[in-house]
Amino acid sequence: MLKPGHAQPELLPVSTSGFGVPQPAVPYRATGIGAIERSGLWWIVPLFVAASGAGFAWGWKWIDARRARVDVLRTFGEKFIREFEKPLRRNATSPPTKSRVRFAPRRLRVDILIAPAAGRTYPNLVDHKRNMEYDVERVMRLLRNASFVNGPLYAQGSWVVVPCRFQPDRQQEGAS
Amino acid sequence: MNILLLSSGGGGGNILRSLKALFRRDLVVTQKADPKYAERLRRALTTRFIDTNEFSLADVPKEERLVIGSLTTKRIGSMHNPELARKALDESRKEVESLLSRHSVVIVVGTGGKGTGAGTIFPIAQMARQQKKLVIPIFVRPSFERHEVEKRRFDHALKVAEQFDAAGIRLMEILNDRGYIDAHPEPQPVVWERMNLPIARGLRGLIYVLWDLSQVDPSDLSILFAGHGRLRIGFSELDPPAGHEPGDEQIQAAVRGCWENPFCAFDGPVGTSLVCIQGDWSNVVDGKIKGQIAALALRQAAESPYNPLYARAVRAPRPWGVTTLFAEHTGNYPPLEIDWSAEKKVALRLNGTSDTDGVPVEEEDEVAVSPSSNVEVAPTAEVISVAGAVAEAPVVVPNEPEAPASFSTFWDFARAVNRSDPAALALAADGAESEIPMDVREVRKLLSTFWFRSVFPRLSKHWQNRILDVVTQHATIPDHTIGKGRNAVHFSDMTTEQRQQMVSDPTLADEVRADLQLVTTVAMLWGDEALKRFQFVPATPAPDNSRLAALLQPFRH
Repeated sequence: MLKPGHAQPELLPVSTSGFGVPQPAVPYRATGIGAIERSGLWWIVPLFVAASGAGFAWGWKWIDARRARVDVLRTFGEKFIREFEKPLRRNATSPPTKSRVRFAPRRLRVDILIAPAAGRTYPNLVDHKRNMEYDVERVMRLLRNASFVNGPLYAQGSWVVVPCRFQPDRQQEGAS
Repeated sequence: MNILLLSSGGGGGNILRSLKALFRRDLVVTQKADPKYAERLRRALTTRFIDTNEFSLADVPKEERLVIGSLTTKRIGSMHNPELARKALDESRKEVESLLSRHSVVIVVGTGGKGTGAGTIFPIAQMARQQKKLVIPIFVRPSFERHEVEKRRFDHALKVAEQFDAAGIRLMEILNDRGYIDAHPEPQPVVWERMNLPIARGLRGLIYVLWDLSQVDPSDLSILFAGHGRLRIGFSELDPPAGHEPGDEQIQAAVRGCWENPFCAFDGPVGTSLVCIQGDWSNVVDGKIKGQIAALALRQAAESPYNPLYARAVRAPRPWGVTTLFAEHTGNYPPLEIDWSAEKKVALRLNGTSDTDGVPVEEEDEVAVSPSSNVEVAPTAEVISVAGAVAEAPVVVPNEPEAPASFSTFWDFARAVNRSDPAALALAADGAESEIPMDVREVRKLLSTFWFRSVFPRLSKHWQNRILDVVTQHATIPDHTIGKGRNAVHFSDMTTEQRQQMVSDPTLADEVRADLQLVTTVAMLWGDEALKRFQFVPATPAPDNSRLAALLQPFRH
């Protein structure tokens, strides 16, 4: 379908004699096409800028929100580890545990991984399950952060994983 | 000095049994050599086993048992509940207070394993402190990693230690965790015995010193135990054959043994400390022991607050050895108020019916002695004389300021500052008008002592400048050359590191070491700049005492 403003296509001669007539090559750069695109840019560019701006703003907000979530999760994880280690650090000559924190910010979940340092046996879930459960409860009580709820402990290699979920609504429920 | 050895709960009781057995062995040995002395020693020590469970005291002589809280616990224990044990103690508070009141020194032993020890050791120590007793609490922190207790018991034990810190009571904390060595597995009783032995042997040495106050200044003890922090006890046997001196290697091993007690919690630098030497050897050996312990203490930190108090345990029976009680330096504190007058009360009671008992020498021991007479001890001249002598010991009254004029020498003044005498501290804070004379020899001697280092920061700038003036103006320092060949260096050119390295070099001549010690101390207290004020004079060459010279000596005449 022809559109106003578009150049007419060239009509090529068609032989009727039954044998092929060599056809002239169509010029690669038809002058009319360039003119069509350039004329369309006047509204594409602002649209693109607006879309990019919106996308950038949304992305920025998303990154910001993600960063905020990660910060909340990381702070909690670090505080947890610090409180967990505090009694074990007393009179220790070297760090008593190895620790890591991993996040799933979209699911508001932080996994705290703790393993015994060299020469230590705690924490582990093989012979210290009750002690570990007591310790997690102790730390959660000390941190007094109602927004975080811990799940059942499980082992991953030499690590004991303390899964915790951030539930901001619980803080509001608890707030008076 | 009347000493009460008190255990609280089952774990503390086990340690006390071990300690008592060792002491009883000593009494048997002493009995052979000097029965009167053994008798005095026996009476100086009282043992009591406090518990909420009377069945755990079944093997303890009746007169040594003290079951607390009969109504609260029905005499069957505190059900692993420290709070219940505390209530039991409250119920029997009067009996315990009465027991404490009869002694000047209270050594209380407990463990944080279950209920009684964990719940009562701190309140008992606090009661003793309130009665102005010298209290030495020994608390065992159990291991949860090795399944001695659950983690929450372990955490409770940590809180007990924190209570001591908050109350400013020094604590000897034993860490059971350190009794396990994976490379050398051992049965539990062996591990406990290995941990109890240094405590028992260390306390034995300490008891000999505390018992006879002539060997140690009570005001020094008031400083040693002041403030919060940990205590570390150490003991090493040093028992040469009769008529022989211990060799250098034996001394080194003994010092190392005293220094290291891996079972004691102790994180900070060593501050004021007591070194008790037991053994009839020469003062040269004493000097080596003191010097090597000081070298270890000073190696810890460049500006070590190590401040040793030395005591000799007179006539201690073999095996001889060295006992050390190191106090963790956590700051400077006013001396404790200790009421030494309990000795007088005991002496008066001994004239009538006595309620002191002491450690009995059991009949089955190898030496036949009179059977245990824990009550109704007939008074003897010996007992009365000891008690009388102790009663005359100075009573520390820190709140009563002394007149500044009482410090006739700078040495007296420095010692008074060291024991936080209020009048001395007031003078130390200013001192611009003070007329206390300063003699250069006295100042040099002071600067060579370890305890003066803790006095120095308490002196005003005026005092500090005055001391430096005296030292630099009146003391000439020979510019000794130390080292050989290319490494030879003059005193005046030495760096701080070189000085600190060389000062502990055992090959240095005594006079060179004394000068180097002075220079090092001045640099440490006033800074390297102060050394520029010294006038180093050329040193007279040391006599040629090389081996070659010694060989040529016969041909010189």
